[in-house]
Amino acid sequence: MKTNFLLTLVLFLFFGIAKSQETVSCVAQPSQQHVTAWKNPNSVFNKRLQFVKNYSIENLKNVEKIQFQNNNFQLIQKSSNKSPQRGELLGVVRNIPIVAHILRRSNGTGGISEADIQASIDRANITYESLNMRFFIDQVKYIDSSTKYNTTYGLDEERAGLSVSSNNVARKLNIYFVQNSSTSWANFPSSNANEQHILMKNSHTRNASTLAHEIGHWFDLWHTHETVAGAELVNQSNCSSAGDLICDTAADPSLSGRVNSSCTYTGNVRDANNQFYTPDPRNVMSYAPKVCRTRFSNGQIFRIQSAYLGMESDRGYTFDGATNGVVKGFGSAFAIGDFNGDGYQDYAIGAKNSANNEGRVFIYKGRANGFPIYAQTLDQRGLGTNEQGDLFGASLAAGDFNGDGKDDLAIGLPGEAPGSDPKSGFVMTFKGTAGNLRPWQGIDQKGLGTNENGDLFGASLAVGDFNGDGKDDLAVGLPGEAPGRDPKSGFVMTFKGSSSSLRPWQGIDQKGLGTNESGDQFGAALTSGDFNGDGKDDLAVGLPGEAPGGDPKSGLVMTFKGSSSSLRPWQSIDQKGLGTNERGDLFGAALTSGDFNGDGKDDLAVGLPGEAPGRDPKSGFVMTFKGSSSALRPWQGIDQKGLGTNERGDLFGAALTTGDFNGDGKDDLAVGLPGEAPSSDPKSGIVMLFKGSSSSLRAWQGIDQKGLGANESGDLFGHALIAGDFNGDNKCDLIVGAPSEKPGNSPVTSGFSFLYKGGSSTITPQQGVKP
Amino acid sequence: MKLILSVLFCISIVFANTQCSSHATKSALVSSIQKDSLVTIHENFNITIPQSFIINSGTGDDTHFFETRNKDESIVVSYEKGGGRPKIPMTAYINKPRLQFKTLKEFDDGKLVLAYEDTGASFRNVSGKVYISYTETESFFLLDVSTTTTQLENVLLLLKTITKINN
Repeated sequence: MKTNFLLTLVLFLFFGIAKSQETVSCVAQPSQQHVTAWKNPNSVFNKRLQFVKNYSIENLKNVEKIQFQNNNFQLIQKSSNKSPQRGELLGVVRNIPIVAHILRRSNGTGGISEADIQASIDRANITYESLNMRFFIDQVKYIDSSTKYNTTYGLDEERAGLSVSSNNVARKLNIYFVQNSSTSWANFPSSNANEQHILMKNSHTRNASTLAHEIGHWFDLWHTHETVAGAELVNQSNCSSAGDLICDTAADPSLSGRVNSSCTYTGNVRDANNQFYTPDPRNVMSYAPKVCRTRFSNGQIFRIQSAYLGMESDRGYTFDGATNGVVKGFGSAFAIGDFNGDGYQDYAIGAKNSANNEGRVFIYKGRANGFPIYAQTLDQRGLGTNEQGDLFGASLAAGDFNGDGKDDLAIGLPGEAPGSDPKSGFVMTFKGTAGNLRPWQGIDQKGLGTNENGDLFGASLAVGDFNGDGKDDLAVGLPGEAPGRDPKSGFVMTFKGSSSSLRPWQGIDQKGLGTNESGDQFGAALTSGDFNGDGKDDLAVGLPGEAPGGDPKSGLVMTFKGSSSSLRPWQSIDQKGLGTNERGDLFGAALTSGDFNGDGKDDLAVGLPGEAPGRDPKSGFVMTFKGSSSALRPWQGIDQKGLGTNERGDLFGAALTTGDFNGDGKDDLAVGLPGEAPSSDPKSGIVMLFKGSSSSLRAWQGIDQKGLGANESGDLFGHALIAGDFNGDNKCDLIVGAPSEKPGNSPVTSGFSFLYKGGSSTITPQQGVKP
Repeated sequence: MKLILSVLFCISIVFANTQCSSHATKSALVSSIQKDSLVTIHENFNITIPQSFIINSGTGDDTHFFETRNKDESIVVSYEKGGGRPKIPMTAYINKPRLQFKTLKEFDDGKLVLAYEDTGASFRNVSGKVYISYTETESFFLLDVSTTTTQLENVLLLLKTITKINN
């Protein structure tokens, strides 16, 4: 026993004797200067903390920044001219960019995997979710040196070997992942360039909570058992001057070896007053077993918020891209796919109006237990420059373009000016990897056409294996394109998937099915499906501005049959058989496909948000067409009857998606009505669900924001929809976008999304998804 | 060497306990005389811990720690050290009017010192830090101490067992 004990000590004690008291901020334990500052009630730390405590924890989640001016603190709000008053804070959410510095051998071997880091961040994100802080890998940088890889790190070795002040990326949270180190550590708030990072031992990175613990230190939390300023008493009479200086964390005798596998404190030690300790083994900042540590006290949360909001004064910078005060239009587009190939469905949410219409896309990763959680924010970096008006994320589509078993993501930028060309639009693709999505390929019209102003290349996207080669292909809509010498009638370009890139394949206009006429908007909406059951995907193209035959501009859909060589003109579809072509119906403004009747062939649903059904006002309509080997045939016209009333401006059919929400083996249809006023609520939007069956789609369920939020005017709930089985229960779940929603009490229309869980009888509210 | 330390410790404790009022405390220490543990602290120092003391030590997320308590917890000696050179305050958080020093022994390059105060706590009222004082401004932290007035002399004997490892 004694031998083991001595061995343990010898193993862990290897730091040299320092004769002098250095002025560096001590890692993991606060420095004298830091302790002194906190013990001074008039220090900036304490004054700021007191200011922050004027607000509720719930409201603090939405604060972007705090500033010290004229001897007073002020809340800073960039997204609104409105001056925040006490208790009234503005809506922003914080995404914190991590630069992962991974040490490897000189030949690039060894080191921790990005997947392990991502898993660690995922775990930390659960811990910090209640603070509206989410961490994501912004960059991965490798330090390939066998010498550095084999070094056992302490602070001296770190200073000599890692050159953190030069390696650190500005305005990010820099974390170094090392193979050999006595411990992990983090630096408390300081403006010293050498003290802005966290060092993680690789084995610690893989455990349940050390990263969250170190991030806690970075945001100025101390160990709950800290004794630098003196040991806290159980009665907490000295809680403001000893221990962690936080009075709602219980006095802690250091929990290592004193908490059992059930996370119950088993120690029986006493404090200086002879009172038994009753610590909290769940506290992240304790030394309880890693799996036990899941929560912060309210006092700790206030302190983290104070450190976050005071970063500019404490550390001299704020995070680049850390705040989503610039996020707008979140929930205006969706895509689902298994981006990391782990077998769980992930999803992407577009926020095209973010940062003055530069646009952002947010990635959420599926997991074994529970619904997907935030993983990554994408912008154009790596493939281009973020510019105002690009509208990155206006459209999204996912598919395995390179056939590697992981889905890739295509993102439309219809406002982008590629290179020195005019604003003709662009598409960026991001390759799925075991870790994060990575920039892959920028695509414009070259090879199939010319980049011209207003083409709107990327306004719509669809993915399908049109040539049946086993790799997904991409169709890109250009509803503003003027094909050849024809007027601006619209166009579609297809790109063939391959292991190396998406390659220009085919330009498609109306020839073979109609005439290219100004304002047809050919390509305004796209969807793919195997409508004829031949094993190759076909393409349906919406032309909501088309005037079919001699009829007025009521809209049209054209279909193109997939084949090994090309997509071939197949069928023109208007309302005949289900209704009358009338001006402004917008037939083809939205499309989706699915096997609603379970016959093994995909059917087509077409939205007509401008249609006036029967004698009702212009409330919108949906028409469905049954797939068959020869043609898509008129099947069913659907309005709100059975679920609501057709009212002017409801926009029924403005968005559509398909999924088997009740798990009966037949696809169901979800229809967005972003202009609907549910019950006595204002025009906030709703979604109506129709259950698939062999004979028809049947009115099933209407959903609004109740259970997850309030129906507020102009939310545009139902503007975009997508379905996927995110919890692995073999029933599709539904995500509804409300891109003009103001989350919480925010006046900022950053947008919001709502997740509903599929069920055999109803779908039920599950959770809100914030930017 | 270890045997000599044990004998010295034994003799010291016997003498020291003449001031003790607690038989229980005395017997606890006496019972440790036969089997004590030579423990390395801060890599370059050894301390002899009575066998009856409970020791808790290891590595946490970001620190190494060591703590030993006697059975009735009237003596607690500990330290925690981060992954670099910790800048631990020696006397900064000891109430200055109550601050007292004890020089425990001399090393070739400095003095082993206990700085402490009577905190007024109802049980372990003596709280302090043990460090090596090299000069007036240079020092090296070794241990936190928490004990009772009646055990202070025993603690001093315990601390005097600290030796430097010459290697």
